[in-house]
Amino acid sequence: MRVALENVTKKYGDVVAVEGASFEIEDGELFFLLGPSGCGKTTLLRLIAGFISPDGGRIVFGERFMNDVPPNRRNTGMVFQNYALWPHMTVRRNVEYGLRVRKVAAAERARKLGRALSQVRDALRMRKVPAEQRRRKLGEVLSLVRYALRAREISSQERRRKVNEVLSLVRMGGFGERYPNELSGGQQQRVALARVLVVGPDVLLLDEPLSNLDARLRIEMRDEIKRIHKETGITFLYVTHDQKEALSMADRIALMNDGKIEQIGTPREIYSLPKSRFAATFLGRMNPIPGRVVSVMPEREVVVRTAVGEIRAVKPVAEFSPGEDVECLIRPEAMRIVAEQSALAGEANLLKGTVVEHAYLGEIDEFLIELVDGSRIRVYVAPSAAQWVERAKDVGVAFDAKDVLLSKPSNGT
Amino acid sequence: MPGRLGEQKLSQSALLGLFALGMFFFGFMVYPVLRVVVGAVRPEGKFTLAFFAVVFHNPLLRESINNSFRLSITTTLITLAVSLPLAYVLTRVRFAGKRWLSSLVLVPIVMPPFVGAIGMRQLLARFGSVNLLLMHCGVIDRPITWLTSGFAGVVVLQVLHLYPIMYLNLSSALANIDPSLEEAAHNLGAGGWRRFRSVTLPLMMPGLFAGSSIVFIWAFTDLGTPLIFGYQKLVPIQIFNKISEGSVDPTGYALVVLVLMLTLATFLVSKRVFSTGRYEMMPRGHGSKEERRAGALGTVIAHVCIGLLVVVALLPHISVVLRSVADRWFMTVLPEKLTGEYFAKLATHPLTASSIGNSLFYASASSLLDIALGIAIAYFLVRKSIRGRSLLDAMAMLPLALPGLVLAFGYVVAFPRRSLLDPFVNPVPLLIIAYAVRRLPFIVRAAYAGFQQVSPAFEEASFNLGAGWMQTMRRITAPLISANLIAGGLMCFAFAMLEVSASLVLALKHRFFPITKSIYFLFNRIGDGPSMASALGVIGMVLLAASILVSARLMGKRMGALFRM
Repeated sequence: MRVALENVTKKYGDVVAVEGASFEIEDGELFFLLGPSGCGKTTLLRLIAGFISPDGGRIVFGERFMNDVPPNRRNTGMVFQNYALWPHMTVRRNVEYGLRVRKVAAAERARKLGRALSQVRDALRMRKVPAEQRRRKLGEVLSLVRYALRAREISSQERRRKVNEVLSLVRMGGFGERYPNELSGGQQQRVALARVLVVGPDVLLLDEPLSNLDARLRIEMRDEIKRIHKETGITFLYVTHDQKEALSMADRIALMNDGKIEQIGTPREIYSLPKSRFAATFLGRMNPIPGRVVSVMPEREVVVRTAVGEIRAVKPVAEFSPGEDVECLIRPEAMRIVAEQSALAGEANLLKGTVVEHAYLGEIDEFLIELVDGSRIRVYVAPSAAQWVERAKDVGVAFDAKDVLLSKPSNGT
Repeated sequence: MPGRLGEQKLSQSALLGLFALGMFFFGFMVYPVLRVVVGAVRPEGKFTLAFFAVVFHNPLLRESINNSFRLSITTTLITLAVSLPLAYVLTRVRFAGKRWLSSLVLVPIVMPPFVGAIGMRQLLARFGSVNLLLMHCGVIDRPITWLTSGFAGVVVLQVLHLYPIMYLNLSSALANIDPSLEEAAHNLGAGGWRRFRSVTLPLMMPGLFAGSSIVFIWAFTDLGTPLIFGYQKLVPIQIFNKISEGSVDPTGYALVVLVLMLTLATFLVSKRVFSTGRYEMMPRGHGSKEERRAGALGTVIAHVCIGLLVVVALLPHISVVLRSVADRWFMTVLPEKLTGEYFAKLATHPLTASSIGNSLFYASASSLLDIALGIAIAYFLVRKSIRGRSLLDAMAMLPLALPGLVLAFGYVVAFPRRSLLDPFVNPVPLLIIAYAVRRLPFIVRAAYAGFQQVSPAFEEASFNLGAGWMQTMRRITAPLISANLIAGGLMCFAFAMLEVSASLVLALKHRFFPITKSIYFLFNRIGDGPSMASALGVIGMVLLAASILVSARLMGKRMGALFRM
């Protein structure tokens, strides 16, 4: 199911939670909403779920306009941050809840459908209805029929079968008779997933589902969720503040800040081609070096004079003119520590500095280098090179021009 | 279409519900009080404070006011003196059998003082059991007149009934003190008593004040106990007499307004002290731990003292039980012969049989009303964010500041003769409503606590999976809060069974008497009246105890929360 938001806005009094949010999620995509706490991503999720309604804009599922559709008619499946498994029901009862409920809803819908059909029949019979209107009326009736048929009565046998099926999909088969308080966090998580999967939703909404799990379990569950997504092919909308999660799992990410969508793209696009300072600094780490633009070359190479030397940059975030104040942003992993006197063959930039601190991070070594003006930058070094850097004092820090991002200077953020 | 969770908009049915609640509050809480106030200051259309002057110039009334203050202050101080060490020992000291003692100590809460008063008169009469026992043991030669005016009797009964409430307030205040605050004082060199005086006691102040306010107001507005002791010169009795006289002269209104002002003042001051925030805002360390453990001697002393306290508290009621089964009991410590005839008579005597049935009916109806009101109010308070939320909260808690006597008086004067609700014709609806209103804060709190336990995510998950309003309520919300609701409903039932003030004032015709009014009526009759009254009292106590037990099992450890301010 395709999900489209067009200029959606939500205010709480004077506070703007979401402003002008627009994006499209393709059918079957694993789409992420990523941003810091308070950026409005959960609000957006709840708008899509239907628990709150927008003050402006449109929410569309496929072709259907959803703004006025109540949450229990949207056919979305929400996985809550703290799972919201009902403590007074067993796992089986929790998971089959949606199936039981729809049985009741279906009966009600069948009744409404019958009424509507007879109304339509009478209306069409009574007067000469122009073809255009007739077609439209029949079209409406048809979509009602389609919807009602989808939520048809489910027998208890079939229900049992479906529940077992989905429990084994999430690898919780055999846990049917347990109560939620007898399960670990990871197990509860899976049951919460099973509960929404069993009804076959059009969209799966996940609200920071892994934030209550410990680090190792989180990584395990990431793979599980990816696997389930692949096997079911349902459109997933996943909300998180954890960039590792987003980068490792997403098909595409919408980066949010302060109620607005900053950038949409694949993980790689957002990480290496950030379009704003926020995007650049939110993901991964950045070393900021302030300076002033000296010249702008036609091939979009920009030369910046800084307190620690001249820096050449190739990818400006915005347009710059000579004399402007800018900030050079370089990622720690894009920098290399070289011998002070090494030749600059092909490397566009080289800064001089001294090694002041060292942190061993397990898979990588992090060095703090103090530059000539006293400022410090962070450089990641592979384990193989770490040893000699540790023993070195005065070094050179080298990086390519294409790895330098230019942005307007921050106002202290 | 039902309103969505968390939305600002309210559906039509929700607005209707709010409106109905508003009407209820106005009609049965605000309006009667207003009517009383107006009756005191503007009886003939002109504003005047003349009747307050009358009250203060009338020697009988002046003396009554004095006595009431003396009574409440005495009761409060003695209750404090009893409860403070009790709370300290049971919260801070470790010894064997403590858990059992902590429950035992609360038993007197369920023993209605009204019934106990009957037993107490018997015990402390000139030739009552206590004197007889003492003479028998040779401690005294002639009987001591324990009850000169009834003042002492009333104080003792009130203290024995109220100390558990004070104790609950104090012990929770004590338990909530961050132990690191006392440890800091200890660390800096303060000894035990010094620590208590400079750190513990000040930190307990809000709880202490809250408990004291409850006790003070209760004692001041107690109607039943002084009635049984025949101690007439108290404000509640004077008010009661003014109503019984048929018409109500404005002096009565003035008296009630005075009581009301006193209650409101106490209530407001205690709320202010409670919510200064200075004490609540402090970060808590780990849970309170027991400071010290008592040796064998200490344990024995604790058990003996507390045991003695409970026995003394239960003595009046034991006496009532004995009275109800005593065939002949005159000039002996214990009854000579036992008989079940009074209980048998209960079933046949027209007054008692009907009053048991009446009480059961009134209590059930008011509990159901309370549960409905409690769910509705709590739901609005917890789930919906509406503009009048704090007003709703205030209204739900208002009955805490309205003594039963004031409410009953208000109903008598607010609902005119020959109207639907005229208490002189048929007091049943007003009785039921009075019981329900008096217990409203407790049921709202129970329901509120229940709702708080049910995270909105539970309901949202249900909606999300396709369930509508009714299904979600039925399958998710109701089961999760049912324990709280039933427990709260049972407490309302228990209270209504033996409610005194409103029952005495409003039930003016024999056939509508609830148990308490029948007890009062029978007690004053010569012959087998007191025995019948005792038997009826025993029935009432049994029903009361049964409902509280069931409720306590359902609520578990959270019982104490219902009795605090």
